[in-house]
Amino acid sequence: MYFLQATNSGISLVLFMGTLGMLVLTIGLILFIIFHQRKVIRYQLRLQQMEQEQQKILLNASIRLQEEERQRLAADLHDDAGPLLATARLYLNENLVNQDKATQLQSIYQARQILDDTIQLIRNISHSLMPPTLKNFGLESAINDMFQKISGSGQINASSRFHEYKDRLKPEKELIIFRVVQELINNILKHSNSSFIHLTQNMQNGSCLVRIHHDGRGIVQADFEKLNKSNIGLGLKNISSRLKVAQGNILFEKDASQTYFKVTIEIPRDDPYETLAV
Amino acid sequence: MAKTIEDLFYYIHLSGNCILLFLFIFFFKRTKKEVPLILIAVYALLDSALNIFTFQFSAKLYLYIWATFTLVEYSIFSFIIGSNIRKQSIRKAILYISIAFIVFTSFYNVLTNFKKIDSIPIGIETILILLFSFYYLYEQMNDTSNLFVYSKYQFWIVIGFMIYLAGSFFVYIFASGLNNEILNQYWFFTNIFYFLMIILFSISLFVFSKKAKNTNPTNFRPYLN
Repeated sequence: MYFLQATNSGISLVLFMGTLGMLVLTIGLILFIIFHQRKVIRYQLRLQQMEQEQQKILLNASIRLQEEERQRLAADLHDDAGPLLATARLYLNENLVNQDKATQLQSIYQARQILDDTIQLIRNISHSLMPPTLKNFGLESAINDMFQKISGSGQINASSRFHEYKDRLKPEKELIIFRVVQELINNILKHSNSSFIHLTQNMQNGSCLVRIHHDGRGIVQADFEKLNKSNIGLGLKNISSRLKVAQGNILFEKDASQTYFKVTIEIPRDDPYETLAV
Repeated sequence: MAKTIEDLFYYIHLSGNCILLFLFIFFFKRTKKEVPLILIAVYALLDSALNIFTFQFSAKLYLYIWATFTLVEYSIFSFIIGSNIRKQSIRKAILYISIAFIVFTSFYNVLTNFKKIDSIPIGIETILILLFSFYYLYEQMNDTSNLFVYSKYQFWIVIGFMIYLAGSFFVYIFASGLNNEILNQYWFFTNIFYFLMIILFSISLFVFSKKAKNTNPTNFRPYLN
């Protein structure tokens, strides 16, 4: 009301400045919104790009791993099963019928021995591809079995304990956890120089938690993320891509006492997408 | 000399409406089903008709017609903004506020004996439309589904409202308290900002027709082989 009672020149000034102020505010706001949105979109595009690059690295890692696995299989079959079968063939050649009975029996016995070895070899290869304990008796038995074998070597003290695993996870999730644990144990055995490995399992907020402790050299989360983005650390990338499939997480840390390294794997019991679909 | 300049801005105002109506007719094939674009064309047509014909009416009738036009203007602007807001609760709030505003303005127009211009309803209308527009822009800012906010034709309509209402707010507020001589000196502000609004509406027509042309190819034939 004061403005309305002001003098003509005062009114002119208020009117002019007011209009200018309103315009500056409005245009400023519009420009702010335009630039802010552009900034947000640019940021999102960058994030998407980074995500794509990460996916590409993981995909490459998994392809490389698959190739390595195939090469290992090919080598096992070619170098071990191939010569064994070739030797068995030698024992069972056409001349066998012209030889005396004792030699024939001896040759058949040798060939049978070699075929048994070959069967055992193929069984071993098959078990390394898909452990039968995991398929038939579940994750708990498969991991306990693996730890017993490690401990049985006498080189390292390995123990595992499942606290809450009455209901088994889905087979595909069990396989993912098993492979991740296998990879981690492999790394610990290869690089950590530790004297013990201890694995525990718990349930927390509908997720299955698997913790591995060891007292050797290890890595923390920052190292894991760094290795994951670099071209080295194929096994770690493989862990990442497997966990991504199961919507799981992994955390590498040092124990509060700074004595042990701890790795925690978290896999949701129910698939979030499946829950939504229901 | 001053009268000539005032007349010039008045004609600019009217020519803006003509340009918009011409563009609307030119793009009619594409725009005929788009309610916001039809409404801005109706608004420009009404404004032109009132500007040309209301001079002949008596002073009282002239005032009442323009006071009613404030209501129509508010209804068109709030409908366009409201129909483009996604959040249901805000749309409802806009509806209730609009009903309250229309009831208030109707009573105000009947009960108050204003002599020049309905400054208070215009002031409230400006504040409400600016608030709705801010909310619309806020929603658009957070919406990451559309790549750029200015790629939507509604954005140009809304900033048209904002520029016009913000630019002419003080003139309308002061209009009822000023003498005619001073008022005439500043009235050209409203004409300029109205013209700017019409330009922005025209841009929205171009943006829409360009998008409609890209999304609906006329010579599209399905590949049946």
